[in-house]
Amino acid sequence: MVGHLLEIEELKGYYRGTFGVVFGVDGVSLTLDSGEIMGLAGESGCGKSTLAELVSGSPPPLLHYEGGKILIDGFDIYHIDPEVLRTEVKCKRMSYVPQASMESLNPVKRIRGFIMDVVKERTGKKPSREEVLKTAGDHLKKLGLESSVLDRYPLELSGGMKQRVVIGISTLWNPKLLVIDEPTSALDVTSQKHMIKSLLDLKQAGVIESMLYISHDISSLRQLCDRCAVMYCGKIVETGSMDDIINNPRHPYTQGLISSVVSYDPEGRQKGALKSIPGEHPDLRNPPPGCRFHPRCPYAKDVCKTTEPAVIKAEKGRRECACCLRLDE
Amino acid sequence: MNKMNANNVLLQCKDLTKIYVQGLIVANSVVGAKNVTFDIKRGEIVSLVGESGSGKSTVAKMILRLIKPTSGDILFNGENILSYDIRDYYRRVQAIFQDPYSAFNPFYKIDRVLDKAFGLRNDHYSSDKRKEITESTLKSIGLNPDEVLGRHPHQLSGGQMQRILVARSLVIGSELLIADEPTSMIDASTRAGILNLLLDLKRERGLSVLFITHDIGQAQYLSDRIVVMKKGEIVEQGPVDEVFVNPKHPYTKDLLASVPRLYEKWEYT
Amino acid sequence: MWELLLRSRKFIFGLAVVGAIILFGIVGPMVTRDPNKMDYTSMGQPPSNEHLLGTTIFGQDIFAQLCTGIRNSLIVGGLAGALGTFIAILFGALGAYKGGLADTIFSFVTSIVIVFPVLPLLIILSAVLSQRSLFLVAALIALTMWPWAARSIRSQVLSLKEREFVNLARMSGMKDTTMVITEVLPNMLAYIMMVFVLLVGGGILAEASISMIGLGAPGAVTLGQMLWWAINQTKYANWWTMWWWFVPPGFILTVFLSAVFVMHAGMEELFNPRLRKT
Repeated sequence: MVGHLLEIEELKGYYRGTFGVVFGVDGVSLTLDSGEIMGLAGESGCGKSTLAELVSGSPPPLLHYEGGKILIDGFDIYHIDPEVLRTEVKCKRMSYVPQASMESLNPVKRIRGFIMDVVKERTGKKPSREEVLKTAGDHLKKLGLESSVLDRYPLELSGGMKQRVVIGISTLWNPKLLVIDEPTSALDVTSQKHMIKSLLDLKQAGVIESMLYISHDISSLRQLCDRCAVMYCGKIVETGSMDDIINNPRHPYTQGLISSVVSYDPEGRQKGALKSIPGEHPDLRNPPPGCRFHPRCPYAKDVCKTTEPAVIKAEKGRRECACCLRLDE
Repeated sequence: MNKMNANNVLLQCKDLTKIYVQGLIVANSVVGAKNVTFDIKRGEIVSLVGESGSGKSTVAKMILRLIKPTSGDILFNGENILSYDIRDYYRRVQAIFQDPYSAFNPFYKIDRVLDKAFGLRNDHYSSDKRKEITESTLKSIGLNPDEVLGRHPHQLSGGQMQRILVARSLVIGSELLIADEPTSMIDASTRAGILNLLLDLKRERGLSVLFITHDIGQAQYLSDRIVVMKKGEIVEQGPVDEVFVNPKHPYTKDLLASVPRLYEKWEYT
Repeated sequence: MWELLLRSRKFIFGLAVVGAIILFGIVGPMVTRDPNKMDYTSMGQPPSNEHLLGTTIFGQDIFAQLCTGIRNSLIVGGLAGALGTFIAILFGALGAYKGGLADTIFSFVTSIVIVFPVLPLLIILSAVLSQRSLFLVAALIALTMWPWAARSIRSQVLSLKEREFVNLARMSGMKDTTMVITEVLPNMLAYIMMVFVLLVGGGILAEASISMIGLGAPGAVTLGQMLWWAINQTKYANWWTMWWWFVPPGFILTVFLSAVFVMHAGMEELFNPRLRKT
């Protein structure tokens, strides 16, 4: 019985500071198997980046792990020795590329200098220049970059190239799982397509086995992911295959989200009007009681205001939906 | 001095060029826009589409008289915009910007923005009448005045603030609205509301909109005509169905092929 | 903004000390005797019951001098700070906002004045102007201190200028000067406060410096003047033996300036988002 590569159960992570408590991630469960590309969709403030930071094992200073389990390839990352986390899990089994990470390249160092620093930190011994140039060069080729990139400074590279360099450095040790947060949002439209292709190539080349791809742009997710989870207000409201989520959304929020996406159609303008979801995304310091979507839900009933809906799982296709009104489906 | 406009053209840009020169001794020039020529008719929504650095914001700022063109003309209702008195011009042309949080002065309540809008109008209403007009305008665009008036910008959401800016231009009564990426910092689920609002205003009041965006899907949904820009120059323009279904210029074709579509997956060769 | 300020412990501590000294300076001169009156019975005496901090070589009560000295020093510092801040805003904000030629001229003038060595200039000016009053001293100090404040104000205005609400205000038909005063400056209130606080501290220090070398306002009693007299009357004894004369003013000066800097540090922690930890 093969276990899941990534297993998250009732994960809770809150921000604590002088502003109070922000319930960033409030009871999230999902599973990811080897070989899958899973998308995490949702709007700004829903908690998807928070979830990624928690999965990375090193949340930023104000974010606290509050409960639940995260198992990466069997390792319970919040209940093991930090040294084991650093040597066995990070970079080797899981790698995290945060948003706008291309800005993290040291502007006064050449790329190869940066890579040598990373390797030295990780393995404890200083690598030889030829070694670095050879291994890193081959690795970056898989992302579509020339090995001459190693001799460049970050400012000589375009945004897309820098992003790919960072992804390359993060995957030097062939992690099984790549967690990547909005890699395309700072890029031009034409670079976005190349980026997504590079990620698919990376999987094809066997460097990574699966990916957790976080984005607010459902059209991009559609191009890349096999499965998708939709988050709202710190919780996952629906999970399923990409096709199901787009063509047959069950949760009212997912339905609203899909019908508000304005997508380009080469056949000409669609006749239907776009629908928006009334109201605003709630403040995570003060989430609504009961079902978190009820203030904006067109089907809301009294029970939605008081009880949180249970997650209903469909038999096949690992479909889940957290809305008690969809009991009949 | 109202000239009869036979072909109903509201705004016309002719060979608009902006070149930035840096340095006194060794001059380094950067082309912001070059030979931009297009027009906007009454009651029409034209989208200016391009990637970052394509010059679309430069063109918008020149139309708004925030920067001066190096050469070329902009005509509004057949007359050069520089010949209009500045207040008169702003009575006819207004804008909404990309970052709603930057567009409001955080020091004041949002009511101030709407109050100042009345200053541009020719009529002088009492404060009661102004309050009435403000409230009815806010209601007409889907905002509840009680939820919005008397608040500071940080207490409101991006979608609400963009709507208030639209209300501001309605109070001023402008004929042309320049919308510079108004939805790029707003959530997807509220974005549709803003786009639908612009469509309603076009249908009901004959408002013309210059919609500047890098998002092809939104441009397709909203516009009657498209102008595609690259590195400061126009590469293609025409009715929306022509440009987006049968693109002629290779850049346009590339651009359209790179847009992720919701219902179809890319084919990689 | 005020609620925010009250959260900073540094600010409250600094403010408390500064406030206490200011209070001292206001109330003190009202309850002590005339600082210039010479008591021939006790000249150059250490602290006693009659003279709390002892007397100067001329029989003047040091405690009385201290109170008046604090008041006068604060007046000079406050005036210099206010005038300096005003000039800094004028040169920094207007120039930055208008841009173009005005900006070039204003920055040019700022750069020139900033390079002038302050103390030698003050010395020369003080020596040339023989009728020196406290107000003149304050004005001179303000005229030499404004440039660095103007520079920082200018960079703040330049960044605020790029915000869209400035464009929007322009598109509501506002004139340039109105825009600087009503749109830009209110957003800089925190910054201007910080600049003012520092300029007041700097003003008091500058006044003490020129007084200590004998170029302050003659006849006025300020902390710096006290130090000048204390150090320069070597006729009758070695000056460091009369510790009760120079220690009080020096101590107050040090405490006041430290409190000002602590206040400023507290304010900067709050207002500068890059320094914020939470």
